[in-house]
Amino acid sequence: MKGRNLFIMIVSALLIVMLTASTSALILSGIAENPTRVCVVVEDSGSGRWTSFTAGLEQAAKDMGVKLTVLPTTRNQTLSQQYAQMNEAISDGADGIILQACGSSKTENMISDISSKAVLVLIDGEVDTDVDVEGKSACIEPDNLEIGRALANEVRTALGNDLTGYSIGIVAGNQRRSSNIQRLNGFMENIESSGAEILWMDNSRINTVDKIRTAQTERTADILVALDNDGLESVCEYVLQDELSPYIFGEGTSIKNVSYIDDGLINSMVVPNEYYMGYQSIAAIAERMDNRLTPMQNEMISYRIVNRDNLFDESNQRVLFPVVE
Amino acid sequence: MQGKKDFKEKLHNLLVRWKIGLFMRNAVPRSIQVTILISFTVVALVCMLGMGIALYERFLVRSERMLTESAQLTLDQTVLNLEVYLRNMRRMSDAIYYNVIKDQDMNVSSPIEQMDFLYEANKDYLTSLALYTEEGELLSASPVGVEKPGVDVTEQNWFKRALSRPENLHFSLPHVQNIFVDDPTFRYYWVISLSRAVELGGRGVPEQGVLLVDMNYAVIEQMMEGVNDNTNKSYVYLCDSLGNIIYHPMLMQIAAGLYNENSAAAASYDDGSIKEKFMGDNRIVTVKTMSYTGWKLVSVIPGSNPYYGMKDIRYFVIMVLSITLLAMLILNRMVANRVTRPITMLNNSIMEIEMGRSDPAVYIGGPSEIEHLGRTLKSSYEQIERLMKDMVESQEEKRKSELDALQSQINPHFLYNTLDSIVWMIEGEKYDDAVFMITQLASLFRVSLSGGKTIIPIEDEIRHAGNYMNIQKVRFKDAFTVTFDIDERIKNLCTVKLIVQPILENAVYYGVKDMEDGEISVRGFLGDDGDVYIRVSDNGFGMSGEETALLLTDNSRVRKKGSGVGLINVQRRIQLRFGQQYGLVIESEPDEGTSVTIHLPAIECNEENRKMLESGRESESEG
Repeated sequence: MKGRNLFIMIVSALLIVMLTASTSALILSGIAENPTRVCVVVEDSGSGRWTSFTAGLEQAAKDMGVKLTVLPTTRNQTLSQQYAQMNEAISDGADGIILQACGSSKTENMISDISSKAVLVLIDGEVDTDVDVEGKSACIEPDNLEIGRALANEVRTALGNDLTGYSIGIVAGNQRRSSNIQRLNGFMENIESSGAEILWMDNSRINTVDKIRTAQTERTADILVALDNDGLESVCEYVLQDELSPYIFGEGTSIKNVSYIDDGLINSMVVPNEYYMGYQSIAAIAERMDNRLTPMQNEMISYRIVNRDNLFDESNQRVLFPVVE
Repeated sequence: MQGKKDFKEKLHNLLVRWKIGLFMRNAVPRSIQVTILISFTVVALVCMLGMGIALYERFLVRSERMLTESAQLTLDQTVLNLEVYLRNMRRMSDAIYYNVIKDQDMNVSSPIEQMDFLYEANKDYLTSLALYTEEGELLSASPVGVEKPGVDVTEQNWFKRALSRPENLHFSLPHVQNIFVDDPTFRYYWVISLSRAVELGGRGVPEQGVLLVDMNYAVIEQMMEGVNDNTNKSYVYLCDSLGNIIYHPMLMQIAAGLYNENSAAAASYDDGSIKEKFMGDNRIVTVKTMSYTGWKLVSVIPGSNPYYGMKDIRYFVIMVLSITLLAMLILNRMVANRVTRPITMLNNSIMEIEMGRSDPAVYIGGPSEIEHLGRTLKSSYEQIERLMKDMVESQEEKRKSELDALQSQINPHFLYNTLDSIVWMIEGEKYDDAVFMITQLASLFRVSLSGGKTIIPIEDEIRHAGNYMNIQKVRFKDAFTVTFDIDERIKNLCTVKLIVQPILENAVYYGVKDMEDGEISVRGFLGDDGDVYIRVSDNGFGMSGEETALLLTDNSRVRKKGSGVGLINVQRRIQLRFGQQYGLVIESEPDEGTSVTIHLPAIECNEENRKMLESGRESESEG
């Protein structure tokens, strides 16, 4: 009698569980889930260099039902300002943060704190972190060392392997950021044996055009190399203003730089696939939100080298001109 | 050898089946109620599942048809809109060509004004208009007339295609317009180039040129975005006849390597709907080919589409199934309970009987079969009770009879008289007689005791009777004679002890005691029927037929003489041990004498038979 009742009770319990689960699923399928909220903290968020990246973010947010907020920021931010912005965003309900840190060192506490409160994705440059065995944050970026090397290779391809007699001015950008440090290291590594002379190097973050002009006035370099998008724009603006014609190489993503290639101003430009970087940043956060137990993993994104000859190649058009007007 | 092997295999199979059966019997509850419950539920479940699957399949087919029809409607509408747009563009190209260029003398005037006018009228749909010579020289353009330095249009696809097939209008794939200078806005426009070969007039000899209409790709994009603005995961994309994508809602993901589209296959499909499996996803693809361009508008309904997959319907089916099963389980339990209640009640009654509860109430009720079972059980139970009671009474009687018989062995009066006679003999210095008496008395008691046995050989019983009669003869001074004639064959057969002595006692006290020539004979023989008969006859006073009848029936008679152990006691003891067909037969005639015949079965007196008879099994089996 006891066994019989137990049998029926077990079957009934199973049926009740099935009923509850299916009813809940039916009800929940009709209710829109609270979307994951992601805040993006990047330096100078209004810059055209983020166009491709933002397009990737927005597409991913649309595909994955993520509510996206790109916080308005200026060019010359500090780590503490970024920290404050992220904390504010988290207190406003952000589940995930996408951060382009303006410095790479002494960031352990900030990263540790933020990644314990929200899912953190770092873009465009690694930072100092404590040991993250749980994989609470991840870095999505191009191989910056390789970008540096590729730039050097482009210079040598354009002007010959032996660059003896050529002088180079480097606009190295924010050298507190690991991405730029690595690009510089990569560039120096591959240009060293060419015989070219490095005349000057500029690390300024503001008034870069003036700084370039000053450096060029003092010692005029034949080749100008910029390691980031803003630096490359500054170099082009300087050249346009002063009506000069040095060789220009650099890393960039903005339509302005693309236009400079089209105008023949820039000889060659390395373009990271920032659309992919934006898309994957959101995807990584959404995946982590879905499964908290899966550790996040770093990801390298690809880059391509663009010059005037291949600017309008079919394969380059979608990457370089993402926004259809 | 082979037969032995087969036998072993069969034996093994049987053993396995038996083990499985045993396991199943232990695993599954075996009550009738659960059997009924499970049977009802399984039957209902199978029916429901069958119906559910049939309905689900029906819904699925219907849903697919609805989705396909809806997709086709959407495609029809979109194709219509796109064709209207493309037709307008073609008409504009025609208008510029036939109304402006063809009649215009290019040496005299430029068609720029007309082109500007047309551009202004259609600038929402256009990016630029341009007229080139066959060598790629720009003759006229609107709205911007400055070419980018170094641009060679003759290398561009739209230009080449126009000249290669001058009879047609050619639509290019979307691309970034890269002909005209647009500084300092840093803006680039996505366009679809509509190009055609034109005949340029007024330059001496007829000359070919190319008319370019750069259609604003954003117009097509807006149209397609409108179509793709839905919450489900289905989408519509546009490709050319070779599968090159013109518009796709995930074009950027495709370019970035985040997504793939099966556009090459879709381009090869005929118009209509087709099911395909692409990257592990089963999806419905509907294709509609546009006229003139040969472009294909493709609607894709992925398997993850909530309407296609009918996820909600699945949940709903599971929910309904769970509710129904739960309700069925409760209902079936109630029904099973109702059906099996009488059986359960009857089972409870049997359990009460099994537990030995006194006077259990046997359930009689329910359907006629169960009621009959109840009645039968009750009557069986009562019969068993009655038999048990009889058995107890019989055992009690046996015990009492044997106690009575035991008492007779130590009848104090008999003993006193015998001992008095012995004393008298000793005093009269008749030592030999005294020794004889004591010897006989000792023998009598030895047989009486018989080591506590109830069943003894007839030889011992006759010896006991002889001892008794020897004592009595001394006591009654040889007033009668006794003869023993025992067949040797019966001496080792079984008898209940102390059954001859009470008969002899009666013969002495009521028969020959007061006679001068009393004779008592004891004869033992095997009858014709093989049974043993021991007959004690006297030539005493005898008795009437009524008195004879009372000897074996009237237990209330008080004996005045002898040991007090009556013939009824002897009769009962014989029957309790050997069965009702055995016992005593009394025959008497007044003044003639009395004859009492003991009827016993012929059972050899060995240890086994003796124990069997002692435990009373013989009488039970006989009974």
